Amino acid sequence: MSKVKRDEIVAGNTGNISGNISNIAMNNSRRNSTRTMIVTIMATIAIWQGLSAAVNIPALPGPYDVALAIRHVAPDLGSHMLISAWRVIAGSLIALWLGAPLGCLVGRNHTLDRVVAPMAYLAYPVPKIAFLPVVLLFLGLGDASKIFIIVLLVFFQIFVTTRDAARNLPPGLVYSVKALGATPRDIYIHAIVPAILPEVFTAMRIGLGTGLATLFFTETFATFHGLGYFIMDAWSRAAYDEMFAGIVALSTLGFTLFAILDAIERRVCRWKYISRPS
Amino acid sequence: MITVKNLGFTYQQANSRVEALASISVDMPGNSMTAIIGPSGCGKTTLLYILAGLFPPSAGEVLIKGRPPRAGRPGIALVPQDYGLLPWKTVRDNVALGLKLRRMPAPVIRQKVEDMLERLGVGETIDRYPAQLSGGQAQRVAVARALVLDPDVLLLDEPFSSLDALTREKLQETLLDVWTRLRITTVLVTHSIEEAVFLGHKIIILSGQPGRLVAEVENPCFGRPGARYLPEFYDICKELRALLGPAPGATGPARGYPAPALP
Repeated sequence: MSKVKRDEIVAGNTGNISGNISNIAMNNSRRNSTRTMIVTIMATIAIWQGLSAAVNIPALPGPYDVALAIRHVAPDLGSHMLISAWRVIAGSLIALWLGAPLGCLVGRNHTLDRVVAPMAYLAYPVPKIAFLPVVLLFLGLGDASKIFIIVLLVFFQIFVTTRDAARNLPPGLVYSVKALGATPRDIYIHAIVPAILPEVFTAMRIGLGTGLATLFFTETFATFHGLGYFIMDAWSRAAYDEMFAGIVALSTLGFTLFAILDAIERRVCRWKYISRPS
Repeated sequence: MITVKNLGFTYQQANSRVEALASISVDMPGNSMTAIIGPSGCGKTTLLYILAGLFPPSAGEVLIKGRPPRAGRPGIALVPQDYGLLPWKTVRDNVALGLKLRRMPAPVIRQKVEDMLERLGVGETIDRYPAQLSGGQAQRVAVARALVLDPDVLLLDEPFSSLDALTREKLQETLLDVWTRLRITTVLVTHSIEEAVFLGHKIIILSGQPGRLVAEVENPCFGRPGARYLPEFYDICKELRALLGPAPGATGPARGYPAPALP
């Protein structure tokens, strides 16, 4: 008998113990991932320092100068960051609120899908930023136009992903819930929504990344608030250390939002993060 | 107890129609176990889903205790192929779902779920997710989810097909034990001849596309101690094998090949 076989048998006889081991392993892996994250961030800063020292031009200040600049502009930078955060969070949440239910509905209804899919495919690939002039005309120069562009962008990502997930749900699962006495509403609650949630989180992550990049662009137009404005303004004054302070703020904002999203997903989709028997 | 009269079923797709079952008339006795056997694609799963009330008959009718079946009607429980356990619910929540949908009070559900899992020997898995179960455990949990509803009719779709041989025989015996205690009217779909003979008091043979009734066999081995080792067990297996179409070479020299020339 091979060693692998024997190990399997041993593992099978010690179900409880292996359960405890997997718990410990999970704690360890979480602690490890925190440690990895710190090391990665420090490595990024080190590479930045190295590059900055190598090229030695004002347009690429080193981390130390930027840290000083951040201290210097902190209150101002903070308020720009909050405004950007508000725009991207509001836009993403509205997109989620519209896109996920609509995606579910269209994914479970073939007739509706035949009508809606061509429209979605036509609109999906268009860079939403191209609508900025029209949007500015109708929604004005304030927050509404910037949030609307993010909604447009993130909506399609969530809509298309959700629709595909709802459509590809194994029919056996739906039947098994139906056979237990589920109404169409129960089927949504117990089968369809939990099945698509992980996909929705993936779409949110992709949407947030592109959303932030697009937000930057919309904030460089006709506004005096937001990180986009802050960065471009610093650039126009050739204040490169402040410009990089803005860039650091932008990536910190993205990092924080991703981390929050991950934490929510771990909680909501617990079943995705269990250790499986090998 | 279950009466099927001139049953026909046609799958309607966007631009195609597939006839799955044609003019099937058969009775399945109450408080007994009936096995439906046939080759893949003969519509046996479709028949089971019609009995479960998930598909409405396209022709003819099905009556369970004199009434047409309706999905979720208290009294009919289905264990689908691959068990249909929801991956995002723990074993406890999976088994509780049917009771919850029936608006039973939470403490009662809790007690019933724990008791049923204990009875089927999978009490220790209650807080696990389906992905953390072995095939045999998942099968027992799926049966628990059906039995906890206290059904009059239990429908099982290839309940043991994805299990290894030893686990399969053990669970077949478990099912027979459970049935002996509860005497629930049970209908089970299988493609294994031995399983049909071990678990079917009446064996219904379907074949063809669309599926038609080939034969009904009363099985004298059913429920007898050590049934697998009785000579009659092999006789019935042989009979079923013949009814399902002789395997090439099984009933004499293969036709179509010239006899090898001897030197």
